[in-house]
Order: sequence, then structure tokens, then C-alpha cells
Amino acid sequence: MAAPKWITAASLGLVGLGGLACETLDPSAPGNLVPPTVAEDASLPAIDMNGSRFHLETFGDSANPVIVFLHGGPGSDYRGLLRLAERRNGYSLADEYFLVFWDQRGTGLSMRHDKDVLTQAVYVNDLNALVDRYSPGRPVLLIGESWGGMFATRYINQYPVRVAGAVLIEPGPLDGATMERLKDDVSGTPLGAEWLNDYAWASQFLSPDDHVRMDYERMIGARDGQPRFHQSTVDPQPSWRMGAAANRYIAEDGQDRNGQFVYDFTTNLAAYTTPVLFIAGSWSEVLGPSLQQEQVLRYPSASLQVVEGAGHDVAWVKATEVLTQIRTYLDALKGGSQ
Amino acid sequence: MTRSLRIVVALVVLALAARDVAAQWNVERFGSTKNQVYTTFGLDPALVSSVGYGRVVPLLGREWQLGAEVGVVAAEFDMRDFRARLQARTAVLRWRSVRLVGSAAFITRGTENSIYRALNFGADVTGALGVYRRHWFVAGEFGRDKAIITHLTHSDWYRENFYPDAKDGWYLDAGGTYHYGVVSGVAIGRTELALRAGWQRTEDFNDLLPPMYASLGVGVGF
Repeated sequence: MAAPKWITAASLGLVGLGGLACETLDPSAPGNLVPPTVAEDASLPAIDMNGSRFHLETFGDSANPVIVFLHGGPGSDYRGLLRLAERRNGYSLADEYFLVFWDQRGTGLSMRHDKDVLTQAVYVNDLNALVDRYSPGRPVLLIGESWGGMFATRYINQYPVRVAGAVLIEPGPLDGATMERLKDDVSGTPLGAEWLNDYAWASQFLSPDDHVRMDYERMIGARDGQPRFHQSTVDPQPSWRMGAAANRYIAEDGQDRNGQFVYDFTTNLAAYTTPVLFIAGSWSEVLGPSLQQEQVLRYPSASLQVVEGAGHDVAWVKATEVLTQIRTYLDALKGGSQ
Repeated sequence: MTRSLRIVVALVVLALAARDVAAQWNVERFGSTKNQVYTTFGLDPALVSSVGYGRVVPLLGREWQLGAEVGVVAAEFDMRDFRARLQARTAVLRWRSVRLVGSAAFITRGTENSIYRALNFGADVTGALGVYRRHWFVAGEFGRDKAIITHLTHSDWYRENFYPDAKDGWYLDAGGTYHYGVVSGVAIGRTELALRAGWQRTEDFNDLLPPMYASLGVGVGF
């Protein structure tokens, strides 16, 4: 909505000096505040499926077994997982597997959407479409981080035969009761926290009235918003864009009308007897070893490996160690035992 | 004590004794209290402390309170997050004890967070309708705060970890908020206490965090 003209005129008259002569920018235009998505930049690697356009990259030989990577959030993107595609200690997962990295619907550099198609059921359909495209008739391996670990579990719960194995890196709570117990730790911040006041204060400068400004505002808390996750400040896990709408609506899809988390991704996990690997960073307080020790018990056959010297961003800051754990797990799967 | 010295002393005392918002003071006291210093503390929209000065002047057949106010975000007393207002208030309509009070402010704001540093020029227009007696008042208010033009400078951290091509510069019409709620006050001698609380939404009536505002102010007239 435009400002009343007399307010604009009077204020600009008082400001008067510098800004008037300058070229002004549109906060909602693609590329000004946050990067353009695949809907706006045709040079980005992308695929069309399930009624949307997704940012996606693949590595390795498509004839090899497929690993699909599921990033965190909901609302983040796969940029912070790309170290797992690198060659480290002379080995790359792409030597033996076909790696598929994609930004989930409405996140990262994938196309934006409104609430009506930002549901967990649509996310599962998207993953089904991805599996059908890259691994038709053949189960895939899933590697999920944080929300991605929850997403992987939800998928396994619904389609156990489509998943040949899974690595879950600090997955969030796999059921609503656990989320209710931990939600203050996951999202809670003291009222006086500097970043929270910065976030509130920022609404006077750019109000979140469209996707771009919502996404931009969302990133104010990315650095300091979760201190108990103990994420690195010297080697921060990068991202392209926080999908604010996806973050909100995918989370809300797991809640009832009163805002209580009621989802349960574990109702059919008994049917999934394939070994599953959990990985946690030793410094991580909220979604770290103590939670994952509980969550491995939700699967019939799962184990937990704790990587020392890292927080929730263990897949980024300790990528070599995480890759070693993943390789050991995948080798064991190939050999028929873990 | 000279008048100017009294103003300075009062400002210092109030700043130390309490802490603010764009306070609403009792228009029924304009006739007897020409000058007022005040301080407020509240959630508006962050935790903000403010001090201000208002002077009542006759203009166009009405009494106007013209004033200036400065505030900073109180969390860690961050001087980079500030607000300065030049404002005017007057009773637009009167019927018995009912008043429609209008106010307009020109606002300069600054902030620095993890992803950008910003300087903003905006305006606020608010109307309050209620009962105003000499020693108390209560009114409902509705107002709009418009961020007219904002200069953004992105942080190195944002460029390195999110978006290296983010554009610095003047952004026009980047946002605005509506606020609506209740404002009330009582006067004890020359001292006036004012409470203000309500809800805030974006200019497209979307949610904001926090969704509410609230502030407590104390002013001294002389």
C-alpha cells in the first residue's frame, strides 16, 4: 500500500538532502535483497516437477545408487550440505553414488509458493516425484539434516519400501509430543536478546508484506537466533535464502488449531527394519546427542554416532568426519550388515 | 534555577528514574502545563527507552503540543538502534469531555543487525478518540507508521554467507505498520503517568513479531 501522498511529500521535503537525487531501489524486486530464484533466473540449474520449479544439482553417474539429500529448516536450502559432495581424504560419495541435492518447495533458490501448496503432504509428493525421476523402480538412500531428518523419517514412515537406507543428522523431534517438550529450547529466546530486538525493530524499516521481505527479515536471526545449537561463528553454515513461508507453513502443518504439535512420523517405523544411522554434534544441546539417544529407539535398527567438536551444523564444520561415518554406514549396507 | 536548567535536570532525572514510546499525554492539561518533559519505556516494537520534550503553543486557533523525542533500543542499550521524532498533537474535535486527538510525527530511525545497517525516514499519523478529564483520560487509538525511504548497507557476514550481490542503497516504500489500542493516563500534581497498549500489524495487515505494543510513560509539566 502506498503512503498517503502528503506524508510522502512532507517527509521527503524534510529529508530533502541526499536521498532525493539518488536512484531508489525496489525492496520487492528479485535480486536486490535476496538472490533470484529459478523462477526469475533461467541460468540456475533447475527441474520442473509436481507443478513447481526446483533448484537442483546432481553429482556422479546416474547409473549408480541414488542418494537424495534433504536440507534443514524447514525453509533453508542445500548450500550448507554441499561439503558432503566434496572429495575429502581422497574419497567422494559421487565415486559410488549419484548425488541429488535440491532445494525443497518454496526454499532456497527454488520457486516460491503460497500457503496452499506448502504442506507436508505436498512435500512428500515432491520427494516421490524426485525419486521417480532419478531412481525409477529402485529405492533411494536419504541423507537428511535437522528438518531434513524429520522429512526423511516422515517419508520412510509412509513409503518404507522406497528407501534403501537413511542417515539422519541431528533430526528434529520425530513426533509432536517430543516437539512440545523441546519447542521452547528449539525456538525460545529471552525477550531481551539483542537479535530478537533487532528483529522486532527491523519491522519499522522493511515490513514483511511480500515473499522477498519475509525471507530477508527471516535471516536476521540466522546468526544468533539459536545459541544452544552451538553453530560455528568462524565457519558458519551458509545458505542462499530462508524460505519464510515454507518455514512457517510446513511447521504449522504439524500443529492443531491451538498451535500444539500433533504430528507423528513414527507410526509405521516398525515396518522399516533397514539399519539407520543417526549423527549428532557433541556440542549441540537441543537437538544433539541426548535427543538422538531417544530417537534412535524409534527405529527397529538404528545407531548413533557423535562427532566431537561440533554443534548442530556438524555436517558443515566437520564434513570430513561426517563423510567418514556416512561411508562406513553405506559400506555396511552394501555388505548386508551394519 | 533557570528554565533551561530545569529542563536539563528534569530530563536527566527522568532518564535515570524510569525508562519509554510515543507517549500520549492529556490534551486537557495543555492550558495549564505549557512545557513537559517525559520518559517512557516499553515494547514498541522492540524494548525501547525514550526521553522527550513538548511545548504547547497556540496555532491556527488551537493549542498544539509540539515536541521532540529520542529513543534507543534498551536491549544491551544498543545506540545503533535509535529513533528520533518531531511531532505535533492537538484536539481536533471536542464534545463535552470527548476529544478526538490527532498527532503527526516525522521520524528518523537507525538500526544495525547481523545482515544490514539501515537509516530510515518515515512518518506516523495517529488519531485517538476518548474521554479526557483534567486528571485522567482514556482513549482508543489507531495510527499508521510509514517507512518512506530506507538506506540499507549490507554486512560482510550477509554477503559472505548468504548473498554477495545484495544491493546497498535507498529503498523506497519498504514498509509500514498499523497500530491500534488503548491509551490512558492519570495526573498527580504536575506529574502525569501514561499507559499505552495495543496491537500492531503490517500495512497489508499481516502478522508482526511481536504482535502487540505496550509502554509506560511518566511526564512532568512546568
